[in-house]
Amino acid sequence: MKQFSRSSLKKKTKSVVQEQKQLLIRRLRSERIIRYIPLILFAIVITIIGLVVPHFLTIRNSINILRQASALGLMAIGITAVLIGGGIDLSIPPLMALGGIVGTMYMRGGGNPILGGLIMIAVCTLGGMINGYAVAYLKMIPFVVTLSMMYIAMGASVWLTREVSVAGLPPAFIDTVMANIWIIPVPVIFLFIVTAVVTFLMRNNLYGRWLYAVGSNPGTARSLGVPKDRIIFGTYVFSGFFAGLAAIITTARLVSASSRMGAEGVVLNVIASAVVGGVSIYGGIGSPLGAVIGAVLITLIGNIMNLMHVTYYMTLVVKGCVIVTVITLDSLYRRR
Amino acid sequence: MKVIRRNRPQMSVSLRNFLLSYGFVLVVVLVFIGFSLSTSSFLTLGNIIDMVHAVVPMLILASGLALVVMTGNIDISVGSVTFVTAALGSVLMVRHGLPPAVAILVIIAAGASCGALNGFIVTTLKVNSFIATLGTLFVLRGIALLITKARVISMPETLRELGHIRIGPLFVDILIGLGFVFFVHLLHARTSFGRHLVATGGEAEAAKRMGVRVSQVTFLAFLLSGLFASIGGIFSMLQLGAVTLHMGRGIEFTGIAAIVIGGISLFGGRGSIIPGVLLGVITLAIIETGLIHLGASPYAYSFVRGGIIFIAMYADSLKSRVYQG
Repeated sequence: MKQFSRSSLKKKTKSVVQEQKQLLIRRLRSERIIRYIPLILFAIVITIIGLVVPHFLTIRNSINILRQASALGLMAIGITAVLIGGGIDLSIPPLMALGGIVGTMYMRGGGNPILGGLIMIAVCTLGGMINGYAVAYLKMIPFVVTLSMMYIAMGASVWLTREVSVAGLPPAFIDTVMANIWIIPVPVIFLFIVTAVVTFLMRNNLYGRWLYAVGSNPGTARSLGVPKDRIIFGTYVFSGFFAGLAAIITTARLVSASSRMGAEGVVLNVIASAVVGGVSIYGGIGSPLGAVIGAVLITLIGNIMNLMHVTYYMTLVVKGCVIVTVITLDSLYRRR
Repeated sequence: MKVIRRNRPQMSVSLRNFLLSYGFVLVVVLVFIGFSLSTSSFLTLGNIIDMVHAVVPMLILASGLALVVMTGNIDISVGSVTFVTAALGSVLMVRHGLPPAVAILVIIAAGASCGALNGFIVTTLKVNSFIATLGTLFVLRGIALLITKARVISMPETLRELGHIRIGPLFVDILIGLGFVFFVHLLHARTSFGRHLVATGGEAEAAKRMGVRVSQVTFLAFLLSGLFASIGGIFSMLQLGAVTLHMGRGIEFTGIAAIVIGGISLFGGRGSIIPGVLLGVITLAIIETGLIHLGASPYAYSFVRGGIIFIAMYADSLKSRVYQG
């Protein structure tokens, strides 16, 4: 008798579990589709425009776009981690500029290119560590912390350069970073590899899972024993590190470093990339892959407008509208 | 022994509370004294009046922005609102011959509509206020550059003088600016709207249960913020005598810094317009003019300001931790 009831109970719980599992799967599916609506929409729009605008769908232009998008893509990966953890990082482009400037100044004096690259990464990572410490351990508002870091980094880079761009990068540095393997530029290959690795790690690595847990429900994550503060700290260090990688590529592409590399418009591009790529600004949702695709799309928008001779100002208007629209869709989805 | 032990933490907490509440006033006084002693040109009546005169647009803008911050939201589009409305007004005035009085009405109406747009996106579409206003920041700046065709617009000579009328040693701007701040102060401290504002920022859910129309209050706060941003824009337009392409760039951040230095919490629901915002704005002005008088490199201002914002925000987060438990 006892055994019978127990087994029936087991069956019952099993069926309930199965039902819930199915519900969850269905929810996830619908979520995925809704999440990628902006991506799909943009892909369609861009294909149509690409067919209309001349010189757009040439191999040369496509590779050019990918090369332009590679630095933005790296920064988008960086901000994705922060956003998933429920924060925001406005200081990525200014840190990128500052790191680029310091590294270039070092190399201009005849420094070692490898060490120069490492200096760029180190400066940006240090900035990220300060951000992370303030947010995770001092419990300050991420928006405000990274805002003042943005100010400090911008101020420091303007101070260092007097608003003149710093030239004199060693050819070895530029040639290595800007080299082509077959016809594909190194930054693009690098971006592909990094995206794949980070996306995989975020899905399967323990820290990656913890990150999603902290972002979707900090309280629960903490009571389940996830080291919340350490994870949050880590996301800002991560984004700083990626700002450093972007600094290397950007300085090599521009053959110089300037404080304008971190101008306000770039922050907009970074946030827009992540958001268009399906990363939620409310935390817990999104993937680096999506953000990189978003970065390519945002670069495409700029490129198309350029080819269509639309003014830069109109581009600002369009990008601003894109962000608000996509976030509205996001919050509409959240409300249901 | 026991008594002493029990007393100690209490003492330290009350000292901390005191420092957190009045710390910035102390700092302002110290900085002021420091600048006065180290430079001969800082502590003169003319310099102080000039300093306050230059800060009037920021004062008006920050008091409007403070209303939004008190609801627990943020409005970083205010800089672009001042730019786009001033651009619209000046283009209508200079290129299309609209009379100045009408142009000013147009500017104010445009400011209110920009604020209403932000309010609509935040309250009706339920978009996070930071991202919503980040979007409008770029959209409005883009529109402004389209309107002005990316050229500087100079004011006619008659209007240029309007920004520098004096009564005795005082500029008229200062009196009008203080009038606006006092108005916002009354709105915040003496009206039911002000109480609802604070309630919304303190605990939106509880406020809703108590019958506060949270979204209506928030919408109104955004509308007022846009309105005051455009009024601040009018003053800075008249003072400068032109609408430049950099108008309003970055002043949203300075405004937020001033507000937080003035003791208004970014977590919402706490702070005052007078003395809070007033002191915050003056503090930043003192530091900036002081640096000029010291002969510091102008490239260093942004760096220093970033550091000041960081410290002020840290104090803010400490304060909210103390109050919460």
